[in-house]
Amino acid sequence: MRPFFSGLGASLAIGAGYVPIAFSFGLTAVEAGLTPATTLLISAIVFAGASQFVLVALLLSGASLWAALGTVVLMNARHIFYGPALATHLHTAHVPAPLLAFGLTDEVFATAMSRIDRIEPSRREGWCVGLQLGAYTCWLVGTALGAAFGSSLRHGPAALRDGLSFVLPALFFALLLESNPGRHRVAIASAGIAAAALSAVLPSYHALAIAIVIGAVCHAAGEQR
Amino acid sequence: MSHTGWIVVACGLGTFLLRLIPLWQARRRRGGHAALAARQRRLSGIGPAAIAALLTLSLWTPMAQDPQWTRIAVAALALLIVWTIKRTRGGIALPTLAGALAYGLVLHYLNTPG
Repeated sequence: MRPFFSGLGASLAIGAGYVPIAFSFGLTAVEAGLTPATTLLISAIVFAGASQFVLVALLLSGASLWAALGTVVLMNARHIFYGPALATHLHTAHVPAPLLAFGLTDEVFATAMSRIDRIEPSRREGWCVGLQLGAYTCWLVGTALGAAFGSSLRHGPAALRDGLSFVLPALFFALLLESNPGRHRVAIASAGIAAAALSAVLPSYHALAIAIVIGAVCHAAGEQR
Repeated sequence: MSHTGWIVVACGLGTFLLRLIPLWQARRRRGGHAALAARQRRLSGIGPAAIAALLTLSLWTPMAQDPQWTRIAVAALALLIVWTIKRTRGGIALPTLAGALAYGLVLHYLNTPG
């Protein structure tokens, strides 16, 4: 159980970023007209940040099942890269793949990839489950709070709102420092430049997916030379 | 179940399968030590590339929509605080929270009249 609790502890930083985002999702969805139960169902089943906001807009516009499914799948297409990259670090198969895959969000993947090499190989699966469960719980709690109390708390102190808006950039920067940036500078520089350039012409979820591919390809090309 | 409920379930299932199938296939294709090492080398850039792209977009998108030098300078200062605390204390949670706190407080101080 120790690796599980260690993963749960590692999810605290993700949780600090997730609660305010999930809170604003809960608030947005309920204020747009969805019931609190449907709002919580979306967070419980989809568990994928930006695409949940788009799904709310699609549901309210009366989109068909196929239109909504196509949009959400396209937005989350980058997740196909995460499983194979994570699998290369898992040397045991005690935990069923669905349990390891369900919570593989951007932030969970980023945290796992920056820290997993420091975990003993036999303990990595348990650590990943703890990490995902912690992040998932924070996501659900944030959504529930936003759906229940969002309208009364939306005018909180400006310093708090500004601070919460910077949790994810601070988290990603801390994770970048943790991921041995000296060894991966080609991947980091190419992905960063590509993301900035592509975001000017593409929606951010497409820019993200393409930038990841560019960074990984540049890294692999550099390793072969 | 309502039509809305079916759409939510379908979108959840679609997202789950995007995460599950590649992981499941990668585990089945495990192969020998040499094959695993080769695959690890090929895929080792994905993690840092994803983190760099996520960091760039989380900083770039709001700054591009509302470019204010004050916000950019305060963001740079907050990242410097993350870097300093990461180097001196280590970990992820403490540098993250310190950076976010610094960003909120400094911005609030600069925006307070008088």
